[in-house]
Amino acid sequence: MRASILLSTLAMALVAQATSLTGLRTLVLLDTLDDADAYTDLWSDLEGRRFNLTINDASTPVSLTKYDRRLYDHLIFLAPKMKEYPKGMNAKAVVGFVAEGGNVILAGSSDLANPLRELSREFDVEYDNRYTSVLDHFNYDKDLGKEKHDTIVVSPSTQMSKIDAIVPQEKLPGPILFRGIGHSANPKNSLLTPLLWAPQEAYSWESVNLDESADQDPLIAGKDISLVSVMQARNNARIAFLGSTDMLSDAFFNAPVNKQGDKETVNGNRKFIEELTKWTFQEKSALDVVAVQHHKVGEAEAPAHYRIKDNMTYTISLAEYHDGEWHPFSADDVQLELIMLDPYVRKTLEQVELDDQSTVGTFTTTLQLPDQYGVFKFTVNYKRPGLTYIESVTTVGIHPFRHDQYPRFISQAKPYYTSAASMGVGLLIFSVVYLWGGLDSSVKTTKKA
Amino acid sequence: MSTESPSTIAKVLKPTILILIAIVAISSRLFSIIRFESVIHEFDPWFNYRTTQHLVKNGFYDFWNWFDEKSWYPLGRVVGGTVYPGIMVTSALIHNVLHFFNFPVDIRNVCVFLAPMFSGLTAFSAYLLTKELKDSSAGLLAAAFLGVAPGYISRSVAGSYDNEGIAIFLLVFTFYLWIKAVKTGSAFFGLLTALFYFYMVSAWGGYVFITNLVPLHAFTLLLMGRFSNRLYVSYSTFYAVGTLLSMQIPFVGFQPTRTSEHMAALGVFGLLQLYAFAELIRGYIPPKQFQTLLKGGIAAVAIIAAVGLTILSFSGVIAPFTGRFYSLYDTGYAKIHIPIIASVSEHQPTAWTSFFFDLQMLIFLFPAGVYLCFKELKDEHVFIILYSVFASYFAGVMVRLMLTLTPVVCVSAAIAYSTLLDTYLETSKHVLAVTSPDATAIAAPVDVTPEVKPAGNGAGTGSKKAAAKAAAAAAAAAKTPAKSADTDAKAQAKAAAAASGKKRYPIFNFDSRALVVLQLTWFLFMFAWHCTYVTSGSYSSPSIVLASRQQDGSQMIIDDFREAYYWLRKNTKEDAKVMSWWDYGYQMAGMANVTTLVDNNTWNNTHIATVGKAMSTSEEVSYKVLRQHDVDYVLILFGGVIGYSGDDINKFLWMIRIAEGVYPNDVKEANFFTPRGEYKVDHDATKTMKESLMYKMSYYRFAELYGGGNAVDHVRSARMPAEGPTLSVLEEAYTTENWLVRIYKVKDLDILGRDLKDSTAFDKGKVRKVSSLKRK
Repeated sequence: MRASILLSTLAMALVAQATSLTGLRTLVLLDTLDDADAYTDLWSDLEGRRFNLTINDASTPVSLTKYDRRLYDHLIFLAPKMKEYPKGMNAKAVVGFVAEGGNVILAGSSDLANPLRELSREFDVEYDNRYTSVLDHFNYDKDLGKEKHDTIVVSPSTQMSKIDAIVPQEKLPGPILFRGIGHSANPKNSLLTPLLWAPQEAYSWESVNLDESADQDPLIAGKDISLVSVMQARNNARIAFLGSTDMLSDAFFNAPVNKQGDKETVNGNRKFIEELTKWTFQEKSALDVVAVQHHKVGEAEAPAHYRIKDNMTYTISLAEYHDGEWHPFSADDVQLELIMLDPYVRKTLEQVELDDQSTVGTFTTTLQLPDQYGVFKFTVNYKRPGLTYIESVTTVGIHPFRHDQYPRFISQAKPYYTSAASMGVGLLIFSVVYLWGGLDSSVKTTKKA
Repeated sequence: MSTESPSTIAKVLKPTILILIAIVAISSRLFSIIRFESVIHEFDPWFNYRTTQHLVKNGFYDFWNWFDEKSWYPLGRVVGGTVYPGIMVTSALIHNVLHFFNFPVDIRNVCVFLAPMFSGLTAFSAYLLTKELKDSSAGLLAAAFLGVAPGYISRSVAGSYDNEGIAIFLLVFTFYLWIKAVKTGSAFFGLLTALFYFYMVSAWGGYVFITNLVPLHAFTLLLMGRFSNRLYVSYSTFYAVGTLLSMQIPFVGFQPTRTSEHMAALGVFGLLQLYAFAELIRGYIPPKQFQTLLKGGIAAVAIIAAVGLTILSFSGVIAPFTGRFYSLYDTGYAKIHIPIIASVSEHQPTAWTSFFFDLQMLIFLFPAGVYLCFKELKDEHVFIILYSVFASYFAGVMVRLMLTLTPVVCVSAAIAYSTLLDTYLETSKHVLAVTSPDATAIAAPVDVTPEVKPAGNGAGTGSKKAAAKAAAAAAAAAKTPAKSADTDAKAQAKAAAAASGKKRYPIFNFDSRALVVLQLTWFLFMFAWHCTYVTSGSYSSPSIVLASRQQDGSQMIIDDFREAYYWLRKNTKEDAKVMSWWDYGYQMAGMANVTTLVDNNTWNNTHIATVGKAMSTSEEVSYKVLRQHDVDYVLILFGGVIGYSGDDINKFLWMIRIAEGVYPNDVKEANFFTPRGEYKVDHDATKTMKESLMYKMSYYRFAELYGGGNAVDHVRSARMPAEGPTLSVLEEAYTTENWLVRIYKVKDLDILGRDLKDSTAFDKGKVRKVSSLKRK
């Protein structure tokens, strides 16, 4: 039953130069193992990037984690018809797998079965009803979508998010062919972003009853139909939802684009999928905080605590991972916040200029601490679409002045110092005169006597 | 009484008795240690203990500048500037001295035994104070009374490491020194008064009592026409030095010059200067001109003072009275305006029964003693009268001020008791001698001269002269030339004066004497028995460990608090922030070593109200507050299982009230009451109540304990619904053996961006059925 394609020799040798940051063990779930033949280009692309593929069908028992550790690093669902999870796996296990840092690609199709629908619902992705397709009578491919107009041509320039961290538009050689089901991504979920959406004229309709009148209100239409959505979970696990298994297939990879009214071009599917899997499997756009340093101006070591109104320097070093190694990260919008319930200071960090030797991007600023004591969080909260979330929190106490840090003498009080001193001197003189001045002593003695 | 041999015996007896009293005072405070262990009690002592540890470990300057990042997160607390350091410094000093002599005593034991040790000193100062008022035998009685009076023991048992433990000693001793200063008119004693006043200021916020009582005494003497150079010297020394010293305590700072509570002392100081100045002028100018000058001067000063005070008060230079002081005038004030003060049980008005409970027979001897003071009415007696009047009032207003009343009750009761004994125990020979008519004035100059001088009006002089005569008579009766050097002439004169008050009719009848004396002795026995009973039964519980009797009579120790704190200490990360109601803040910091949001130092009402809001709102609202304050755990007390009535549901109304004061839009007290106006937790509980985080945390999985049926909350005798509340933003982390303490962990945001209600449901196996497409 179990059929695995293991390129273990290659993978084992090259783990050290792994292209994915989180690992290479990849599980692919297919409806039947025969389907594997339809995706040979995808397999070779992934294996070319040293992924270690385990291809299973839904009937093979599999467990994603063991002793709270992941057994796989990435998971690809190419099994839209799957009625039941393989033994040892369920929706909770998949969510748990994501919670452990595993990445998931989930591709649907018009006949997407219930388990994966429910799973994607947890990610705020709602696939349209079963047997619906995204149809477009204007932007269809003349070869593949000849009959039903269900293979639509998606233009990256207008129907793709301009997030270079995920799929840079200029890398795509042509439009993308899509045939499958549409979904909607809940806009309230800030972790979820539609990456590819349908043309304005498209609509989602039951593909089996296509002959019947199509003028009733479809559930979703036009731009609201998401074709590909991506989520980066709070633990930076990445998940991609595709509405089409076909767009990954060899047939689509190699088909030319023949859109009504346009001349034939090459399609961008293979490149699009390559970039999308690179992103999803943490091969690029991964950031890491290499170091956080803070100290008073003129000192080198971080103090145990600061004092109000101290001048201090904060430095954070960030590195970006792509193409198998870490590179310095550069940006101009990294901000530092000093938070105690509310932000007291918010300042954009300046990047130190990179040179040939630099391995990390260094961002730094010098600032004066607020005139408020308390426990402050020095926070760099850098969350940009497609990039790993950076939330670096350093908790530092800001103390009030010590008793010996106040000025000892203040100029306003000089009259009081003078009066106190004169009083002392006066008392001294008086005492001396009284005791030895011989003025009163005679009077006193006579009185006493 | 005045023969040689009794006085020699008395010389040996007095110290022996005093030492015995001290031993009794100390040992009667050790019940809690024998029953439980040497452990710090209650709430505030834990803070004092923690700061003392810090002081011993890091030295004085570090303690002085200590900024505590672990309390009042994230605001922090400037401990050095918000603490009365007296008790910590005292313990650290004792600890260091002991260690210097190589006695390796643990600081905890120093802290635990500090209050009992000081109670011995308190007894001694009560002796000194009463001796100044009457004689040493009354002094010994006062010492014995104060040594065991439950009103004082309540705050000074072993382990009750609180400010009051040393402050009552300082209070009594400062008063003794003040009386001594007024009596002798010596700047030296005035200075000593100021020094001990400083110690008192450093030890307890109740120093304000001295700050107002001493000026009041001076002012009353002034009104009675008893201005003297003695008063002038002692008060001026005390005020000038004492105020300067008190300003060295950072927590007090400039208060003596800026707040209304301290204005009386300043005013009397000024008045005394003016009065003395007027006296000086009177000596140099004719009486008629002086009259005019005086009138004009008084008018001018009054106008300037009134206008000045008004302007300063309105411009905010002099702070108005604080809420705590208003609540001393109007007991209902705090309840309406400052729930945070009213929520503390020791700020409640005293129930009349507790006067008897805390003082037993002393409470009815007390007025008699005050009456005797009136009969004598020397400067020091005026002081005792004032003290008793004001302390009685304050003790009636606030439970915990019973503590300031107790010393004066003991002193006046001792005066009354000792007068009774004097009357009924005097040897017949001596009583006869008092009645004998011949009077030789040997002792007269000793006593009469300083007293006749200040007494201006006729009535006073008359009584004084009678007293002097009696004194002379008594002195004559002794008929030994060495007596003035040997015996305490003054005390004798007073005894004689007391006798003269009884119109010199001696009591010859043995039966009546025996009856009264036996009765009095019986009272003493009763008193001792009552004190021991109260101390052992009511005031010796450490309150962090509870003891209860099981049905078979065996003792069951309920140690849930320490169990929970120990769990927190061992199982949470070092900087874990734990939210709880402020009552447990000090204990958590001391025992669990975690960061707390609020604690018993209730300096920031808003922060407390925020915690109250988090407790009393629904999970969604509360979660935002919890996240904003980086809360990792929430700790609550729940007594429903074992019937511990001091739990958080019973305190909940205060949380709601305090929260409503700051967040009236989020929390409304009325929503927690049923339409019939009842505070219910069972089926009838309101929706707001059932949705509040506190309710949910308290009763989460409570019904499961009873197998799903008949869950009964034993504190509120309420039958709980079988279906308990569900929690989604918190998860149960720990519940102690008797369910007394429950700790919940605050969940992180869901990694998939769902709200926690959905993710909790998903974890329980429910998948979302509603399509988000259709939701649109």
